[in-house]
Amino acid sequence: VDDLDVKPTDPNKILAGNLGDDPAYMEQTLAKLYASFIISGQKDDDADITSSDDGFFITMRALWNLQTITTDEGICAWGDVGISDLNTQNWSAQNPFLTAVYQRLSLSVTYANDFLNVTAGSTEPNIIQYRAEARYLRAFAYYWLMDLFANPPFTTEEDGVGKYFPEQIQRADLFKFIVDELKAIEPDLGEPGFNYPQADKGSCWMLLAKTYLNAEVYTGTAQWDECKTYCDKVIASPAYSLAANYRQNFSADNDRGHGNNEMIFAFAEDGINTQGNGGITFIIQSSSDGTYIDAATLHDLPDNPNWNGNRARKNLMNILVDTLTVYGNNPVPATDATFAQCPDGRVFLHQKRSINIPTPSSSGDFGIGVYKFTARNYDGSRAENYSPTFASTDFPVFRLADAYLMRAEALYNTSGATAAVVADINMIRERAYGDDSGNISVSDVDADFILDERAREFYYEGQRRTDLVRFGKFTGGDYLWQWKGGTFDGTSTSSHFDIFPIPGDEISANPNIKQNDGY
Amino acid sequence: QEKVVTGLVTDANDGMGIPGVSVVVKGTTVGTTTDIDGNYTLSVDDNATIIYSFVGYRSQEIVVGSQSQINVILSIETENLSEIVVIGYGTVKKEDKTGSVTSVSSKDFNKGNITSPQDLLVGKSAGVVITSAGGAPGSGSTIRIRGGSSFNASNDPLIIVDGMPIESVGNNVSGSSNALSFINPNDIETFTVLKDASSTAIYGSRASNGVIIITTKKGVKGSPLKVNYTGSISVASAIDYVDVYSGDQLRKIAVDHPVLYDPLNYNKLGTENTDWQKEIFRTAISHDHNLAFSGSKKNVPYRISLGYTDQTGILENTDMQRYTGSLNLNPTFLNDDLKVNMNAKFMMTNNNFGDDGAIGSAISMDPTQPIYDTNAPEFGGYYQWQKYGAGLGTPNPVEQAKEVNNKSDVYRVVANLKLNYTLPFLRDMQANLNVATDYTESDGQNNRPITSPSTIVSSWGKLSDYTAKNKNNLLDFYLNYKKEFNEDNKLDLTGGYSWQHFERESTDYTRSIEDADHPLQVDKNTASETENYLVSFFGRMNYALKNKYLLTGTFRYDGSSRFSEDNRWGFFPSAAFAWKMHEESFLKDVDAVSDLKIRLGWGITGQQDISDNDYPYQPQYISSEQGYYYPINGQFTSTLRPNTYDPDIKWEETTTQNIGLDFGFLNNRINGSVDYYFRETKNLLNNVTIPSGSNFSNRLYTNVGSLENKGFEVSLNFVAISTPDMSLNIGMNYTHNDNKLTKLLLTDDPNYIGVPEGSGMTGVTQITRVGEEAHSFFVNKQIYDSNGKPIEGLYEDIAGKGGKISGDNANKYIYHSPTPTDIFGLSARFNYKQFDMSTSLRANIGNYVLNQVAAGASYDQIQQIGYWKNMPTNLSKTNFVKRQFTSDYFVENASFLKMDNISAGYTFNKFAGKDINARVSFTVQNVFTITNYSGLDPEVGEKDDRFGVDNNFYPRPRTFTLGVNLTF
Repeated sequence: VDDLDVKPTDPNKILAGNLGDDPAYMEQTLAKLYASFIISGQKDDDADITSSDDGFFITMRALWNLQTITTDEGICAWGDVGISDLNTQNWSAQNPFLTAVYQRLSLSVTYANDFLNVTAGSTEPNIIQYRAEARYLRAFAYYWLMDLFANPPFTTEEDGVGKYFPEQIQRADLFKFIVDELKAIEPDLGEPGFNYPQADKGSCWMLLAKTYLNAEVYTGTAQWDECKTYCDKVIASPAYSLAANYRQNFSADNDRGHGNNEMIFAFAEDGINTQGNGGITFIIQSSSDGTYIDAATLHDLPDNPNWNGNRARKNLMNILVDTLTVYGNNPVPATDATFAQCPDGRVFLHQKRSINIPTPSSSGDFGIGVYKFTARNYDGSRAENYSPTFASTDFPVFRLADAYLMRAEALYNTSGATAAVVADINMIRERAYGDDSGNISVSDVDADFILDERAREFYYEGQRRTDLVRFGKFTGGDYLWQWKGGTFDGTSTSSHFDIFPIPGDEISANPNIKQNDGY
Repeated sequence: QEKVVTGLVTDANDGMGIPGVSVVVKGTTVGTTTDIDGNYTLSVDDNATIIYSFVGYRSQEIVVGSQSQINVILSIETENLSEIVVIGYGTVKKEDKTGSVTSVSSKDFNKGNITSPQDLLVGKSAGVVITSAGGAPGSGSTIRIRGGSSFNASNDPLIIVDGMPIESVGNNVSGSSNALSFINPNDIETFTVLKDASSTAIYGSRASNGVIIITTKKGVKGSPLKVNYTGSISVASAIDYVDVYSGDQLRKIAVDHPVLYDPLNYNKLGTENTDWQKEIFRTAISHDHNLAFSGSKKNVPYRISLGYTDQTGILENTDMQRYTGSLNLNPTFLNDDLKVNMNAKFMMTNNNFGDDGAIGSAISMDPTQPIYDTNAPEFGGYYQWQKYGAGLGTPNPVEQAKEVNNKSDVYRVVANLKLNYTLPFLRDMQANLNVATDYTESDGQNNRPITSPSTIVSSWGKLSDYTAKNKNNLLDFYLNYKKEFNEDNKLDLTGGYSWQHFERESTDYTRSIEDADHPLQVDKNTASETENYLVSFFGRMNYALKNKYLLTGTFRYDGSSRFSEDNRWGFFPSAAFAWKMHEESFLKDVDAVSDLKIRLGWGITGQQDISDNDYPYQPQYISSEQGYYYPINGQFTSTLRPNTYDPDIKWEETTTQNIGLDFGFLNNRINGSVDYYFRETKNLLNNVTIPSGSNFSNRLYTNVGSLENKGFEVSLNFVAISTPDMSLNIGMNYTHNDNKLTKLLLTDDPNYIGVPEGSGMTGVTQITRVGEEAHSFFVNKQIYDSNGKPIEGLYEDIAGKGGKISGDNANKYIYHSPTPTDIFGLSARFNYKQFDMSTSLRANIGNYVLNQVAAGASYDQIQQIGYWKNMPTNLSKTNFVKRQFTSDYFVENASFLKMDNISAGYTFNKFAGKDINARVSFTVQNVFTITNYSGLDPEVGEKDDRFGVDNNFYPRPRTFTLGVNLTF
């Protein structure tokens, strides 16, 4: 009968009580908190959540979809469930993408809570720093839950693990929790750039700045000064400088280890060690088609290439390509397939079979191709830890350019178009044009310009929906793009789509959670 | 007065002498057996009664009197009430059984090229549904008894071979496709199926899904050496192919739809007319040989058998070779007080699984392309889309099928030693000890050459190697006390202890192939090991009053290492009552009624089969493989993930009630039984959606929900003709089962949509919802035009909210389920002199299938990502431009009638003038299927965790088998 007391004998399985046996276990447990955002699980067919497809529903990939193909930046040709609803702003609480993002972000919170419980009371300096990183990642997950779903379930290390019903938190209360947490952990985090891609003080400042940037959306009260305060800290840090060339941020060697000091916080990807179809590999392959954009030749990814799903709508092209200046207000000539005449060095677009997309589910051969991210090194050479299947390009979350543009927006909102605003914007534009030929002046700056400049700088980086919501242009009729609301020229949509619904799975599973308005 | 009696025992069927018949004086151990010609000589007393018995024949008792020559004709037993039926930890006379138990013996088994034991039983027993996974050599089957009592936990019955519970069918060792394949079907004597809780509860926590007890053949005491050879040769071929477009047709479709296809891709169309399905399937020839020696050497009855099977699959590069050996010794010692039964079975199988993915590829592959491409030495000379810029293009099916090296070797030994000892000081008490071991080892690889197009997991070709070891050790000890106090009171008590230990180990190694141009990409090495224990106490009481009223009570107290101390032990009782009405005075003299018995049973059984986790109550951290690392402190490190756990997890509990009637008329020429059952499972082990934030995933495997099964079973056997020259036996069975989920969540949300099933690509098409059958189809309601043609993308707005209808769950409804409502089985055996014939038919009614092969057909898919693709020709009926996976149009009624096999044989006595009996037979399997289902085969079973979805499986071939059976 004593035989019934068994312990796992498998070396790959460690009981909770044995986590203290080897100091390396702490690094491995912390590594999981990071990995939970960018890879599916522990091995093939062992994803952290159960879903209909492991690769599709990795946090950063599903999040990228919610932030991109719901806007003018992207539209996906695939027939997979839920995609067409995202393309046309017509999603329901059953949408698998928003369900996955919600469940995975909540899971990242739970992993962090567990880590904080396991390490509670430790006085080891490295553990104190790891705990601050865990709290950072929890705040990061909560930030996205707040941005996308407004009122998620709320748990901390005080809550146990088992079968119970977490309580729902309101958006403004969560906002307060996030900023308080980030301020509390700031001293314990590493110095800027100390150990990329781990979270450090710079990552903390950027998340604070981003949270304050959108404070009005989250709480009803703008906090532009607070946003500027944290942008100032980032810009003042000697650890950060703009990459000489824009494309360095989107190449296999875009990490700080390869000297790119523009990168503040990113999720690491690696062809050998950190693989998956959840991050940049997905962005590259889903945007390649073999005909107009060939992943093998352009990105050195010959295996499993050219998924031909995502491309931008022509409205993004209109923002990125100043056709009046470049083509004299003539239609874009077919001969300039890659808009090579455009002086802005940020344009990595390719005309496809036609600029217009005939129907929302037309094949990916229609529309504006995007090849901004690449699995090659910036100079075109083969990546370190090269894989023909998986990119080693890190997923940029916060880079220095964003601190400049956030500060410009904060300044603009407190004191209007000033020289300081122009100076911050021109920092970015000089890098983009290679000289001051693209510089702007005070008279050029208005709210729309700032929004458009953010699109030019950050397109395909998973920021667009948040930006459009902040400027009041995501839903409604102020700004229409092709197939918004399901019509060719775009149509006004209901403002309740500014927030995603709580997934139906959660409403059924947890009686404490109330659905968001309008769903 | 002692005298010598001689005589001849002959077979009622053919008039030939039967060797080895036991001729024993009643009430003594004095006796003999008949010789090779059926003759015997025995010294007896005038007033003695001689009992003539032989396995498979009805015994006869004859009073000697003044006779000195007694010739006896034995006829094949139709349904013998005094036949012994094996039940858990003991046996019972058929007439005294109180539970729902059926047994099928070797004479009733299915015929043909059968390599898997469970195929012998298909369609033979009411309430038992066996669905083969397809036509692959040696492939396994799912076995469901009364529909299964679990939802996420295993629904496989417990299988006990010669007293040894073996690892369930679902827990296959990697590299082996069939958990039962270690038994040579020729060695099996009987299958006994225990269906209701009153008969299974003695197996407690593993008994919810029924129990199948397999006994193998043994030597007969005192019989001379008998040698038996059976051999067969089979020819198999595909019955039909999926209708797809030819190259010419595809080229025409391409030209006819210029808007759909990018003009840049027209030059990628080829000039061929390749029929890819014909290229990957073949006519397969298999053979099978078995040799068995049985007899008795110095009072040690023995049976030794050797088997060799070489089965070739109809898909290129699939085959199986199996070698089996078995040894059975059952001597008795100490004046029969100590009975010993030793069994050892050995099996070695070489599997070649090939790549059945080629079947789907052959339907999708562009027929305009050639098989070979002289410009593509880097792809081994095969045409591959990847060479022409389409990495996602359909792989060349011929290359896919032929160039894979997906083989495994499996070795298995199952051995046990049973001792039965009658206590000298208490003659009514017997002590039983059973020690057994089951050891399996497998070693396999799944390799692709460097010239194969890449897949996601393997960069340039693939090398993989895996091994597995399963160990299962058992110790049972029980006491049996049997006492007839007087005519009216009989008592049979059993009590015992059981200990079982399972260990499983496996390794898995995958890497890419490297050479000068291709650096190493993938290098993954994992190993796992796990174990669990079961410790049990059990008991049974059988009490018979006046030989009319039978009472049975059993219990089992099970402890499982899978649960925490607080939930570790489960108590599983049962009770049954039977009334032998035909023994009552008002029926006793009615000759027409030979058997009439009412059975009532109740019991609780459990389930503790927790998939992939032997430690579900303990918090565990799992490390990650390379590729799933993350950099910390500048080093890529394996990550540790906390896994979900439920500290309170415990047994699933099923309560079964059964009412049954056994009947026999006209000396049992017509006999059968009717059963009605109601079964409710509580605390279902269920993988359910949990509140976000409460545990370490979005689903938790825990005790939640309940389900019900109720059903009705009838089995009927009758001997239509029985004359010395001719006999016709017919067996029929009917099963009706209703399955319904009654609770699914921790909460009771009346709006809960249920557990959806589907994939990201094809959408949600099935659902398991409270109040409905598990895996019901959940689809949009198609709208048709005036010609009855489905209108693409047009569905009924069920939610009435407007907006998007297609694919939206709110607009879907429940439309039938894959589970048949009614199942019929029919088998018939006919003998005329030396000629015999038999057949088995099956019908399933009310089972629906989602024809995903057809649903995947649309014009836009013919060219999308830089390559061309073929489609089933039903596309010309729908003319859908886009795929409509969620249309109820593709959910089809797949009711069917199948003739599984038909066999004819002829027996030669004294073959070639020698003492050799020979039988030659000819069998056809998969003779015909009558169905309205439009796909290849309406019986799709379970694949990749989907039920009732037709998604290209290995087709069941039609097989012609010529067999010979020699006995001397």
